[in-house]
Amino acid sequence: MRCSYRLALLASVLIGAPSVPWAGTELRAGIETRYFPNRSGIQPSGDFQSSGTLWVLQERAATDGGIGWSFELFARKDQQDNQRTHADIRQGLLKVQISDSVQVSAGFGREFWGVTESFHLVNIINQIDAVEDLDAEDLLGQPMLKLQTRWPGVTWALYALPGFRERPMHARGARLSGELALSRQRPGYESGAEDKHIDWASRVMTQIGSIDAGLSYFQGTSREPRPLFEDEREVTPFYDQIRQVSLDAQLTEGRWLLKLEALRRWGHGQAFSAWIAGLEVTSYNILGTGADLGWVVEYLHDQRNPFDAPPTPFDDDLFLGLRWQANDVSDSSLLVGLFHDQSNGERFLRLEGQRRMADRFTVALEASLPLETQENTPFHSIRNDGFVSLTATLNLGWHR
Amino acid sequence: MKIAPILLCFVATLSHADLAERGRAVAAAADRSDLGFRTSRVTVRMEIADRRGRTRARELELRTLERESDQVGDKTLIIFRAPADISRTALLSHAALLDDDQQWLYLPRMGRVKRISGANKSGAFVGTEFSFEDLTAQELNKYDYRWLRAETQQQPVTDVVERIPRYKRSAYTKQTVWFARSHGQPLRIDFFGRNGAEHKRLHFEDYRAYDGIWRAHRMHMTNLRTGKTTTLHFGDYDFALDYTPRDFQRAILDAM
Repeated sequence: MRCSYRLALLASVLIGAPSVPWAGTELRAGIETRYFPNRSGIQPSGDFQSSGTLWVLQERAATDGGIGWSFELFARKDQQDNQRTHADIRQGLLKVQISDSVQVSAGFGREFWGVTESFHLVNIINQIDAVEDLDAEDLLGQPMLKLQTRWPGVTWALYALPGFRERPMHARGARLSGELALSRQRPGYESGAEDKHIDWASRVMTQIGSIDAGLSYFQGTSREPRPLFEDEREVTPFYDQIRQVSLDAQLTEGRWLLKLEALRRWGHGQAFSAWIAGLEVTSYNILGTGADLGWVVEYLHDQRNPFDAPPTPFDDDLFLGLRWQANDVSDSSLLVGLFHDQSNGERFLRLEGQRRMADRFTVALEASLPLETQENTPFHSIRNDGFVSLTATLNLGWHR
Repeated sequence: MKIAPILLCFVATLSHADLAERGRAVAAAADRSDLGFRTSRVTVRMEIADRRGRTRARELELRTLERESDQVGDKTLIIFRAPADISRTALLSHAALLDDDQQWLYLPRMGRVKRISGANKSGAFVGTEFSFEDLTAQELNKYDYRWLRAETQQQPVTDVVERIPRYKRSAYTKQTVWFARSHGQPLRIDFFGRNGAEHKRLHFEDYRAYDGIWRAHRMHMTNLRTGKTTTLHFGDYDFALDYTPRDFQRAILDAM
């Protein structure tokens, strides 16, 4: 109680103005345990891997003519993988609302572009925190200067992205390292400026009736590294300079959602296209329980040349997903998804569930299970690293 | 007197139209009293109780932009504040009168904005006994009306009006609304489900007028089938805020 009073006092001193914008602080502390049933490399079968996380956010909304900010810090300590032990500034952003329609922000930020569920194809701004999880939904903070203008029905944003974040990799011999290890050398960059290169991006978004669509452009350092093999086990990541144009769009009609993400990329050898087309339909109040069941079908296609471009497992894949939401007071939900590669038969299962157990205490269940893999594919190297994990998190928040 | 039965039919029909008009007039007075509020913001605490009385709480901020014409509904932005794990999750709604609402969900973990289907207005809103249908403003043209009776024997004196949803996908076949004669606002609504049986009951309490705009500060919903209840406690309303339509566009979620 005393802590929140002091925090509130500090907040009110910093702000002071009579028209009070929203400000809040959140803190989360979590413990995660992963269970790996299979032996992999030096890792024994039936192996537990535990880690702890700390996350804090302090935020204040930017009102007209005012300044707002978002500070978000994250840290994980992993008992087994010393590269998974890491910390990051997820956000360190100052926002100025110059007018009703123009906002400028500067610092470490996070952008999300896209509409699909299986994979976030066009989401390019932030580097993936690849040691966190396999779903590419944890993102490293990206230094940026962003200008956003809002008009009726249309938004336009321009980004200057100075500074590049390298993709993290698991420690040598650790679970999910794919028997690979980063070589001792620095990553290679096509640009002489290396990670100091200034990248640029722009995005136009519109919403007309049932359609939400975005058109985006990016030029600069690819977030996806190409692996250069020194020898069989050591790899140096190489970051090409690329240009990318992408489209993401959704049509919403009744219970049906039609989704599309498509991109064309230049810079990894030959130019290529990739796209995901999908459908989501929700059944409400199934079996009279009040819960919703969403069916997701998405097809992923990627034309890239696997020798010139960074590897992707999703080149000709069908994704089938089921999303159950209880609509209960505990916000229980479960998402199950299966990737099935139509060319090589690879199958990969993902499961994510969560539930609030008490006011400040949530529990999450997750599973990533390669069911069937083929040689020389990204999943093959982690075929024995399928796992189930349980995470318990304490969630605290204070706000005015 | 063969003409009499025909006359009787004629009179009965007139009476029916009369009741419809009178019912609509009562509802229209309530609707009219709300005109011109333009913008509002209020904090809502939701107390969800199971049949044994054990409660869980949620807290949210509700911002409203009054509709531009009587062909559409209001625009609302709900920002969840508590419990902490869903804090900053937001739901933007553009209410339509008879069609599905347009809705967007902001998920703070990834900063993702998802357009979701507005077709499920009858589902429970975040585990409470209120559905989205129950929460969205009771626009006049969404219903057909029939005045039933006046209850004058006890205080407060009320007009009891039956209303039937004209919009699609409602969970209700009809509702009975008690409008207070004193301030014209609803005091109680009984909701009747598909089979005609009473499903839920809603009581409005602690009405306060903000410059002629009436707002209830306590809404208590009981699910008569399960015995579960949800009570909404409203804080002080702020009106005359400088919100514009731009603050209720999808882009406001992208900027969060």
